[in-house]
Amino acid sequence: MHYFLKNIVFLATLVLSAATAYAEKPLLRISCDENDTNVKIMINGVYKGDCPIDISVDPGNVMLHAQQPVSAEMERVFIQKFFISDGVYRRIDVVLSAPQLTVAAYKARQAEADKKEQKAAQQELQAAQNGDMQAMLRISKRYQDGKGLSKDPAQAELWQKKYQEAHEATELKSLMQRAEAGNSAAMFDLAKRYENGNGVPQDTEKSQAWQQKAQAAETQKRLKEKQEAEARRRAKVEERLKSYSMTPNMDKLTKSQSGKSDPFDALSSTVASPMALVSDMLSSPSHSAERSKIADELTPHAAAWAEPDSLMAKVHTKRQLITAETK
Amino acid sequence: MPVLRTVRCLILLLVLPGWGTLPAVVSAATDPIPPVQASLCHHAASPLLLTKLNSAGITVPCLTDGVAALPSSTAELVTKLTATSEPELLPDTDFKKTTAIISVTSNHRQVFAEALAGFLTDPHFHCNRPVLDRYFRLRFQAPPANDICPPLIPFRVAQRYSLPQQLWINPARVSEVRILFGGKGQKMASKFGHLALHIVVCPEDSQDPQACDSNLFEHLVVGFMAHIDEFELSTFKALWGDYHAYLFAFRFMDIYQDYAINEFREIYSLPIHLSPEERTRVLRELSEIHWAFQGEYRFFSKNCASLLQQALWTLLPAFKTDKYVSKKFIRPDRLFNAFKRSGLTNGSALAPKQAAEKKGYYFSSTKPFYAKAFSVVHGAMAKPPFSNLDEYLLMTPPARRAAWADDKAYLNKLLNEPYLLEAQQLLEELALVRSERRFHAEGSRYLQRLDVIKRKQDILKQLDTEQAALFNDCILMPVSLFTRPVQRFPAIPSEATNHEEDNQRVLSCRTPERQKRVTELLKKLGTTARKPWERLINSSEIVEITLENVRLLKDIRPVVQASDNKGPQP
Repeated sequence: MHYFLKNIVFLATLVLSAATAYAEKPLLRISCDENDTNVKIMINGVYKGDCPIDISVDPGNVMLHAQQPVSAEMERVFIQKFFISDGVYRRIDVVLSAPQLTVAAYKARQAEADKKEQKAAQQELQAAQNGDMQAMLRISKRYQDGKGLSKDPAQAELWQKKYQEAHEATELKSLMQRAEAGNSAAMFDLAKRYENGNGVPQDTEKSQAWQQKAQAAETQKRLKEKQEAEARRRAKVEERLKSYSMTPNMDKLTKSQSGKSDPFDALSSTVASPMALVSDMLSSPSHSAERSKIADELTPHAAAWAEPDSLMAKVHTKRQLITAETK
Repeated sequence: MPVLRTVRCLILLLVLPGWGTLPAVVSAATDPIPPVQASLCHHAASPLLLTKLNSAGITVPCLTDGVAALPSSTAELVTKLTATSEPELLPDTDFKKTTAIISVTSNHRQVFAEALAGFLTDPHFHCNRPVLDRYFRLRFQAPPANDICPPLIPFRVAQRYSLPQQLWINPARVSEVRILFGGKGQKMASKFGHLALHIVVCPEDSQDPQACDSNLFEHLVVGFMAHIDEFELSTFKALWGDYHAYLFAFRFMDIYQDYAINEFREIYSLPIHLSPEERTRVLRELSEIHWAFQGEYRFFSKNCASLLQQALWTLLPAFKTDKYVSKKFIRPDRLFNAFKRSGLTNGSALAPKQAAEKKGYYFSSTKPFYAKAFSVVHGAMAKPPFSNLDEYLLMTPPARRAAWADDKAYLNKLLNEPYLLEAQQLLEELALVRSERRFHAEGSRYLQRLDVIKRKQDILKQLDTEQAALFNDCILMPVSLFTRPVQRFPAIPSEATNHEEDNQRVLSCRTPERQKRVTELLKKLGTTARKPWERLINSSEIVEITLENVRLLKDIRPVVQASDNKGPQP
């Protein structure tokens, strides 16, 4: 009802204005949702009253700012910028935002954050000055970005450099520790550093000493690896030594076979028996290939072992070389 | 049986499937063969042949390029030649002797007509029937052929662990053809030794004589042997010539393993004096015999020695007139002695034995080598559970392993003394060779008991469709490859033979899945031959465990070598 009356008054004013041709200033009718109460209306930063409201404004750029306090720090706002000319009438429906920090609250909080950041920066600065390498990196970044500390490219570069120096010193220390502990790769690196004066004073004697130590350590390392590999292989062999046991009846069957005359004993040598075909049926090609390889290795073996001057011995040696090369 | 034993060396058994990878002597069977030049029109070049053909009313016109024109059909020419009464166009004694070693002889007149027709019309006759070509040229005074034959000569070589392989030999890589004598064995059956030819093949990259001699893995041995087309030898068939003889080809190293290792026999390799041209000719003519010949094998009259002598008479006429080898021999050892005395060979290469062994003209029996290894092993064990080599070999492989692995002091010696370790390794290797031989024998017994061919229908009734197909493809077919006669060819084949198709069929059975099913099938069939099956499986296990023993000793070896402890030397 109140709203309705206001409209009546506004219309009457317009009629009166037109009739008298008296006022040419632009008019604004600012309305809000009927549920939004206590909405302050400011035009160009000047409070004009609560919404809804009809306002006569000066022509030109207008900044409309509607604000509804929610709490001490929160508010809902509506901002609109527009241009308005003489004699124009404009209606604006205010749609408030979701609650948000008031400018004052925002600033207060920002100030508080800045304070914290500055405090952290001071702590980090202290840590960096005490040699904390990660703190040095962070301080350099703070000076670069101006976060917690005033922006200062020179200081940023200075702390970057300090970090590099500290890092190198640490690396060198670690390298020396590893070298002293017997790490051959570290020894080689250290020898190189002494040779080139990289991070340490150039020192040929020290370089050579570390080089020799490194070589000795490397030999030791390889020997150890070899021994370990051999130990593993030996363990495997020992495991395989135990893996087969006598199958039932094997002894009995073997003896019964050996006692019987073999029909193919009556035949000669040179070729096999038809059983090769069953062997063929039961063996995989890879198994046959392995058997063939072993046969090729064992055939000249006895002659090579007992008669090292024989041609068969040469054949055996050649075969072994070929096998070693293919491995 | 005593009769058999006296001639044991002469009988050999061919196994078609089942035998190892052969290093390619020259090339695989599928390699392309370069085209050959057409041969000359022989009868035009031979006035004698032209006259005889004319007088018999047979015309085979020559074309302008010197190639014989084909008659309306070769059959027609063969008919005319068979019907002719012209004496010069009929087989003579030399022809009969020649064909006795290069073909499946039955009707000499028919064979002669067919061969002459081939000589007259086949432009490649000189290359693929070289023995007959030489005979006709000599008889009809035709000039030597000047066409170029394919550079590679095929042989089908038996393998130890896989199917036979067709290899193409380049004669330029053959440095010598030798007479190989497998010496007398301990048993009565090998008393007179065995004779064959040894083809010395050079490495691909060297013609140096020493390199050729030591290239033993590529050397071949070709020899006449009986083809036993069943699972057990029939004495009567052997005596009456019911087994066929063929010229088979093997890897030299397989022969060495069988003779020098398995049977503890010596091997002699006696070089024949041949010019390079003669070597090429002999190799090509051997190939013709290898592919075409099928004869009777009789223990006392047509054996490895007599057939080889006949072949050498045909291939190298000087052997027919030589005072030592022109006489007929039946015993291989006596024929070999005659060869040694003959000036046609380099008999001095065999003496002294030590020098001959160094050069590859003589290969000792390995018996003393293994005996020495046994002595080293036996001497190093505190309480050896065996007293001689035979006892060691008769132990089961787990028991043998226990002997050298459970005795910690001995195992430690093995790990530290390479010489001892190698001796131990040699003994296990010998056990492996013996166990494989045993496995083959047990397999033969099993197949004999199963009698797959005779019982085929009964067996098929027990199987479902899938099992029957498996039985046919993976058992019956490989068995038939063994039992059927060896396939003969009318001439040296110029490309891979259909043996390869058989090989492919057998190979198709060798997927793990099919092999598993074949084993199950054999086991099922084995219920009708339970004992042989049990023994077969047992002997198979013995091979496997012995193989693992060999592997183990090989794997111990690097540990020893790494220790740099050489151990005591002999």
